Amino acid sequence: SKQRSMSSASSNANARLGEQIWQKMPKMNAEFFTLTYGSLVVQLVKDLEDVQKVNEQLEKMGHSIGMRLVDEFLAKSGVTNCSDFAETADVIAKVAFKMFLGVAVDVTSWNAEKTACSLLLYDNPLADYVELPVNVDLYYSNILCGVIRGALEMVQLRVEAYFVRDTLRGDDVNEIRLELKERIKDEMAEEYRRE
Amino acid sequence: QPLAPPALARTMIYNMYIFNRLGHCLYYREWHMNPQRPNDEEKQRLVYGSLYSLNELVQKMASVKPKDGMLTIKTNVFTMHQFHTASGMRFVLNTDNNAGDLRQNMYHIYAMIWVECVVKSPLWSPASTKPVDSPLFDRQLQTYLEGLSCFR
Repeated sequence: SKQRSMSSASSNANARLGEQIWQKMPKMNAEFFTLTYGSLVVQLVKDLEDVQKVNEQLEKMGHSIGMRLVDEFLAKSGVTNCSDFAETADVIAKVAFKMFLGVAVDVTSWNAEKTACSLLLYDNPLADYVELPVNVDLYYSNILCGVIRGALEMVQLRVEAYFVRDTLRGDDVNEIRLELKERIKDEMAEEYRRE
Repeated sequence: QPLAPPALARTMIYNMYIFNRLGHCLYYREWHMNPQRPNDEEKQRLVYGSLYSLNELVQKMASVKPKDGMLTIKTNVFTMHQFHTASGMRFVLNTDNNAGDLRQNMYHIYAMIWVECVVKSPLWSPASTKPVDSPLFDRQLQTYLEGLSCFR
């Protein structure tokens, strides 16, 4: 299918949808959310010691969350099919991030093939009040990358998502790079393939 | 106990299947079925396999892209309603031929009952291939279907 940029009209429609659903979502106390996540990360750092392992574990946990979250997302947003990856990215940024975290996210820096882009998060509720020691290679919010990967896997898209800029590491904005690797073909369980 | 007395019956519901995206049957429930034709794995595979093939057929033959996941198959003895989510789940409801468009109802079962009772349950995993054991889901599904005027 022809790759195109999201028209601003459709992107605005997605932003409105995101706002509408955010209004209706059950809410929890923001500080409680931040502190709970913080405790989780601290515990992982203590248990695993190696920062790379912590990054991996956060991503893995996010992946499990994403696999569940996708159905709640589809159910509440009513989004059915995205015609191309540009639309998928816009829906993630404007609808999903808005309805689950209440934050506005921009999609930028598309490559020529329209298979990779950046998600810019100006606000990150996970990282409120958090300070990292200098020169630590921890991607504190790496769980978000896993959530995106797990959710998209359930709609037949294999992607890689990783932080390239992180305000906790001194950057001015949070930037997650999102790359489409392949469209997963319909798979069937073992017992069907035999026949 | 039938869902509706024969004189007032509008639609009779026969059974329901829920498949995950790999074709594993996560849920089966029947209401008015011939007891000599019990549910078994072979029948489940037949249902899933047929729907999978039909979906391929629709994708290859249709001149317009379908905008939602609803597929209705009417035979001379029953109607099969399939709601296919973007995440690959298939909700399949078999009724007699008096049922109208069950799109909204099936969406409700997915969004309000399946997601709330099963997906959000810590006792269930999306990677699970076994039938779901959730009394909460059973109850809410039963209550919802009994409350629908078309099934009274």
